[in-house]
Amino acid sequence: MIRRGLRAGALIAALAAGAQAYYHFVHFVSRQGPFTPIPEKFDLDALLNKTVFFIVSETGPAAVASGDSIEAIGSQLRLAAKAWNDVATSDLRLAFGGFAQPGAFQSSPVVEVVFDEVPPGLVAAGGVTARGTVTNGPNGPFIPIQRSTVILRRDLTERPSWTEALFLTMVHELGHGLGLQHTMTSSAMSTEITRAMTKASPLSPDDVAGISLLYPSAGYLASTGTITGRVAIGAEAVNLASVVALSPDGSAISTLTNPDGTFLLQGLPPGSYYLYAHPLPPQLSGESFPANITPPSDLEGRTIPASGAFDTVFYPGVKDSALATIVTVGAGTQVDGINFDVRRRAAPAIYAVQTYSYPGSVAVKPAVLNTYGGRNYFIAAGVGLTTASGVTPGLRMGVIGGSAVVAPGSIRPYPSDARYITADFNLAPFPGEGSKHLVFQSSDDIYVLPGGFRIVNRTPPVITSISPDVDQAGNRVLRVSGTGLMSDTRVLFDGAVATTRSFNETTGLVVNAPAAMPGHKATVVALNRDGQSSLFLQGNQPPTFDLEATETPAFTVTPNLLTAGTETMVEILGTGTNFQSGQVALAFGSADAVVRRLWVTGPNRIVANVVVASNATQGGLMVTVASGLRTTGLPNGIQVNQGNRATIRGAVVEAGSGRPDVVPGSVAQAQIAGLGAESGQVQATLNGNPLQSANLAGGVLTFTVPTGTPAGPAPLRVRVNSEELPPVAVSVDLPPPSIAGVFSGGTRIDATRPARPGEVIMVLVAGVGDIGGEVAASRLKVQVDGQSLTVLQAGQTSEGNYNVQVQLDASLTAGTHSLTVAVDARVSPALSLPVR
Amino acid sequence: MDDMIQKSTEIVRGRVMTLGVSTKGSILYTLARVEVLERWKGASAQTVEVWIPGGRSGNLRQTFSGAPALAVGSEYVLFLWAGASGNRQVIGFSQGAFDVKLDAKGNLQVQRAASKETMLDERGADVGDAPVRMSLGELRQKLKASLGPMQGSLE
Repeated sequence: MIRRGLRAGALIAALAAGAQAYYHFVHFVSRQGPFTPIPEKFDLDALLNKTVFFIVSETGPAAVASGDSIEAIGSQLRLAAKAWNDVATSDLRLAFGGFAQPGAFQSSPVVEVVFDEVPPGLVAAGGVTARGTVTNGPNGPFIPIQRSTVILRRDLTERPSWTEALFLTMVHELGHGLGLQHTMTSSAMSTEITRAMTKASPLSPDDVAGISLLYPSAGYLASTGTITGRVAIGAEAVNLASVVALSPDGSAISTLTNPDGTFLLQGLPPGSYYLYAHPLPPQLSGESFPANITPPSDLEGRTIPASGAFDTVFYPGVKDSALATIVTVGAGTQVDGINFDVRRRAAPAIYAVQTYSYPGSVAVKPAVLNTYGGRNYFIAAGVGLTTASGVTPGLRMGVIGGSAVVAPGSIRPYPSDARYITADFNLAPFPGEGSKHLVFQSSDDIYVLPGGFRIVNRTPPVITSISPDVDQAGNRVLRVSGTGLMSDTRVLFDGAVATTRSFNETTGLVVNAPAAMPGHKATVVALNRDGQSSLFLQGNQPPTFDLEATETPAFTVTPNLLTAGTETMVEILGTGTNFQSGQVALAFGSADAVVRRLWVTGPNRIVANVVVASNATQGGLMVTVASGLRTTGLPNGIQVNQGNRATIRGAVVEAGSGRPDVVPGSVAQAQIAGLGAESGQVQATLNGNPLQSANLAGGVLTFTVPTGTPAGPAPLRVRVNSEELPPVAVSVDLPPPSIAGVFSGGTRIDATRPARPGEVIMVLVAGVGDIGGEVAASRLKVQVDGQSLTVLQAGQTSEGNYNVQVQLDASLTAGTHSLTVAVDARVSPALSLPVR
Repeated sequence: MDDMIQKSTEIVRGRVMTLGVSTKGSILYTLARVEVLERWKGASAQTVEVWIPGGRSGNLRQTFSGAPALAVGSEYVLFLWAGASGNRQVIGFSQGAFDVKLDAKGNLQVQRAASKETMLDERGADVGDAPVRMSLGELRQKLKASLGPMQGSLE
């Protein structure tokens, strides 16, 4: 059944041409086929740095909950966007684009967030609101999204910003805006009833597959497997049947069938899967489509509706998961012929099931069962679970994967509300943490609920105190104490993640508080990697903390007049700003004026290269600097004018390598656009030093970076003939680091003593520069054959080099592998690492 | 349903006469003009205009997941809400739209399956939403009991 990577290159090309799994907003050339999906998605080639910006309307919420703030809501929105932005296997980046002034027009692709009247019962809505025409891209034809809109409730008095529900709603609606539809896998993109994500773990593997298949990073398709097949009722193809691959370890990845019944289920991490096919739930009255999934349409906009309901079955056509055939896929392999011949029925017997548990007094969804003892029962509600007289006769429940069983005879009506059922669970020894799948069985149908509950090994975190302190260097820090806190617990102040400085089992975490405006009271939440948060036990009254800030920040922008179609270095000088590298966003409230690159050069200074689209509208833009919980705006901080200026276009790069960071002594290149001629008399300076070597030919400026140019952004000023171009900042960097050796227990790794799979090794790195004795692991990246390893420890040697400790992958094969070390964006030459 | 009854500013049974389109900022709204056949809550009016986010205008098509779809000529019981702008919207999107159809015996039935879009209570917690299927007479009694005799203006 498994067709191992034959003609791997050709296979990947074929997949790319018709890439579809999950379910996007899909079109076909015609309703008669061929059924090669044409998805709606952002055109990465039209986006600077492959980044789409979400721009928030200046008219924010009219009212917020008691103790809440607009800054807190904004920070939660940025945190929700970060969930999508951080998907490593997706090339699309999603970033905060500032606040749009009234009447602002966006000509570039954008996600706009508006606050408007939303009727009771609803918090938000989102969708694609402007599209282009069919365009050919590297992964096949697509319809470019020009604008998406997320509408958030204007009156948020009853929706505190810190809640799990509001945050997950933001993630969900932003997902729609990026091109994702609803899915039936209890993921972030599932509807509220079956959504089984938490603030600590907001995206499921299905969400990751959904965004990654739409915007695949290099190597994504080759690193995952594919299953193909068809769903039919006899000879009749089933359109929009949901086909789900369930991993026993808890993941679920799905797709929907094409009008000819075929499906292409991609993005499957190598492993073994149960496959099942099920119908979409019935369409509600007033609902546009079943499950609110927009069906595929032809290019005239005529939709191809979902086929009717059928019996849910596991492959190969069984209702008992124990009898199902498990299908195994590997990286870059495709399994074909997974066909489902299903039986029509009027409607599914069970659907729209949600589960809850009560770790404390707060209902937690999905249900959490723990291995440390306590309340191992949960409550479930859904269509078909109960009748007017109690539990639906014959209802049974099971757990896929053997991690737990439903205690025999324990399914019963929930005492306080007969619309709900409750059941007891017996956990298997060492059941493993994570999401588990449930199967509900009626007399003649089954319903599978992926991620129906979660098994955890620890109690949820609880924050008992937050107190200010001073570290040994005299810096202000906060001590966060409580129970269930771990070294990798993330502490949120509203939606801003505090930087963890240290952890102690007894005393808790020491963190740096995020920047805030004076008088800001933040709600503090702890998130653990097992998906639990302090809201599980403290959801009714989470702790708050008054963040210290004495000075209201302010800033100026130079220059404040930018010409459409140019790129310009902009300098922000502030007072009371306390900018920190990596924590600052600079935005202009328009997708037509965006930052290509930003440098924090001091607590009160930012330098940025700002790109203004050639079709940007003339007028003023709101400049916003966001850092932590502090958002400082400057209305009309820059003005955009129309003009016809020559400009440096694109990053100034190192000639040959194309790196966007240049090293003193190296040759750098810059593209010049808008000149009447492709060559001319050039005068240029870098950091104020004349560039004698500057030469312009073929529209490319070439120059040698003077030795002694300090690291950091260096202003490049260019005059061609008599025309002065807007200055841009050039990133001057130290030379790349180099690997001086690899060791294990003091023994050098080489051909006579090769490394072993799974071994912990120490990589000695030279030329790092002084980045401090304590090195944040996030600044160092060790890769073997392009795969990142977790940095276990890093520190400076007495000679000024750095030791970096990593553990090799246990599945590493014998032979020679490529080892690299990166310090920030500087990547060492590869070293051949022998492995036996 | 009790919560929906209380939060509605109008509850009507009506037939969709026309569908139009309007814009608010960059957002298209479908405007459903509904002939009121029966009213239980809200000021008297023979027609109401219901705003639904999304729609089509020329080549521009906007879709919002979960937004209700009302069909011209179809009859609904609508639980409507209007904010400060005065624009009426269906409560909870499809949650507040009930089909009105004849059953096999020729009696009017109202029905709606369990809603599946974001439904939260005041604290942001999920609200268990149950499917609804009852005769129009039963709905009238329920509304009357909930609203009291003075609130409704039965036909």
